Amino acid sequence: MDARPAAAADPLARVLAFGRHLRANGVPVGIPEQQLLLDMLLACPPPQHTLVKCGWRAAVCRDHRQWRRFEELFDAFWRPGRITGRVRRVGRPGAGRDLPQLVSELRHDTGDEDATPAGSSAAATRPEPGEPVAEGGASRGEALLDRPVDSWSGDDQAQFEQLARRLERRLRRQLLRRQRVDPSSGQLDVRATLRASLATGGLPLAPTWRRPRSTARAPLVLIDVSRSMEARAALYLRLARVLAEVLGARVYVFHTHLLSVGELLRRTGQRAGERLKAATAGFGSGTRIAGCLEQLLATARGQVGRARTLLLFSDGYDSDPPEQLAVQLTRLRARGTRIVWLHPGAGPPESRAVAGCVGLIDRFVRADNVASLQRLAEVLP
Amino acid sequence: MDADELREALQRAGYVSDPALAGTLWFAGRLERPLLVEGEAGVGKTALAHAWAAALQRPLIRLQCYEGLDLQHAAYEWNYAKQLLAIRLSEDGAAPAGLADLFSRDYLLERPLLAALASPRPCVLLIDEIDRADEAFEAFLLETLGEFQLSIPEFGTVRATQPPAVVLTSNGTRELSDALRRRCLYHYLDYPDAARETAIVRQAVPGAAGRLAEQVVDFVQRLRREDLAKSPGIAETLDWLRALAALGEQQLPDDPERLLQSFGCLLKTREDRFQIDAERVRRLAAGARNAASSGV
Repeated sequence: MDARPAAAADPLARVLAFGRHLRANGVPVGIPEQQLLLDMLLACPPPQHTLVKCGWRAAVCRDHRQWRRFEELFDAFWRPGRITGRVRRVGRPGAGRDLPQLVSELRHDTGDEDATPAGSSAAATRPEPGEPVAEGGASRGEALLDRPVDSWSGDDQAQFEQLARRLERRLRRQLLRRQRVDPSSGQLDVRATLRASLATGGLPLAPTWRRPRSTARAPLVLIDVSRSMEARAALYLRLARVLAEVLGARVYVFHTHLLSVGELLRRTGQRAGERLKAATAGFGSGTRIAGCLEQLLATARGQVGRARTLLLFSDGYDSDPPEQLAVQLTRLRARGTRIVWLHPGAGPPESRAVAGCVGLIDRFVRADNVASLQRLAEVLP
Repeated sequence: MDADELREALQRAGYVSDPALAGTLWFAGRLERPLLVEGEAGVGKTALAHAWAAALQRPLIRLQCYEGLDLQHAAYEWNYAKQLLAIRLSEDGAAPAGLADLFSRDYLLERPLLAALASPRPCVLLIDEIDRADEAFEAFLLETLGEFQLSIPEFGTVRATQPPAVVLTSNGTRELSDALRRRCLYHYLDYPDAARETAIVRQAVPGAAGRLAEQVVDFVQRLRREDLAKSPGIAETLDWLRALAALGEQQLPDDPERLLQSFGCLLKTREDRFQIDAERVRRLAAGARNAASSGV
């Protein structure tokens, strides 16, 4: 009796397994996308490996990040021998799957007589009984949830993006302008009405209304990059980059003084990376949380205001006088800023500075693994 | 037409594409799927739609998106003046006009989306810079992109007899919705490598000296590695090459000040212009000259 799993032999199942492999690695592949993968295989003239690959890439990728990762994920599944294992990947690629052979098998299954059925070479690439295979791209992604952030690799960026999107949904939408009469109704848009009246010979038959516009308030992100936070700062910065991209967050790093790095995070390229490293790697001295918050209030007053959320990543060790932190947090709260303190330890920071201002902090959130960071979306106001 | 033939047709239309892009276009045409092309400004997204139309010998219908773009400008508009005239004629007994007649096709003004769907022969529809349009308009597009149809409440549903080939472009200034993305094939158009860019400039500016073209391309490739707020795209490369050719240059001049005179073609922000000083230009030009002479 052949103990080989059906998924390994059936070409349809292998395509579906590839879809699941992509999904397990953060590429959103649903049933329509899997259908599209199959359509592309069948539409493709007899096996053209590169053509199928570029078609599949176009079919499943939805942004630049997925676009860049696709090649690696594709090779991991279909040509695992080419992978040198430089990046950890979710899911098990399994033994070699030959794509041209798959196309041939699939066309044969669908009644295309020109196609050659599965031959010996396909059998050679199939896993032997008992050999581990990628059963439906089985994901080990759950293990990531409890993995400390300082042991994550680059592939885990997808986790951050999911988190950022949840945060985006969570952040309360704010009216850009408050209207005195009735915020739920519109105001007459005179320009648009006059413009539309051209179609009716100047008679404004269809008045155009200006609706109040709302927007989500982007959070402020402050990351402590002092020596005690060195191990985690890089990954917090990675999360901050996603928050800046998705939510338009303003990002600052601080140690003994405050530095805006939002623009550096948005840029790509080697030089931008070097600048960012230079901005953060030179740190490692003390921390002046209170002093840096004072600097924030002095230099970026417009950014700390009504309905802003301040995400403060720090272990709480402050070299400023402990009472100073309470003073600055009080000033922030007076401006309507909500403060969420993300700490790398299991419990809230126990430093004297933080102990003296617990009542001023809206939330303490543990930030040492993905699961704890995901709770961030739930606790945001 | 297979993918290779499409690539050759694009080349004949003046667009130098790589095999992956040609393959994606081929799939988009074959499976009748819209193609969403993202990339930095100036990498050739809009030109791709023009070239595709030329390669397929189809007319191009273009919808330029902007903030505030609405249905009346993008899809259709009722011809109110004509309707009013018809009502007045009806009142005078000159012509009968029932209410249904007033919302017939005769009174419908076609805008790009409707024009593309109603076109009797297949066309290429370019929805340019979709990220500039509002989210509401993006949602409105879903029906058109998914079903190639347009629902007009007073009239009914207009279905495309010949589904248009659709290209959407985006500079990534705003995140597009997942609903839109999943209705499209996706291609990220990056800056071309040196070989492809050289082929592009040679095709677009055949009058420029070959040595100058190579050096210009190499210079721009090096310039893109600098930390610029806005890296020069292909359009900027072509502009700069044309400017240098118009100045009668046969190769990159040694004097950086002469190069800087035409730098307005390459760098479009004050910050970048300030950052790339004469010394930096001299080093970049020297590198480009050496690379071109050694055939790198």
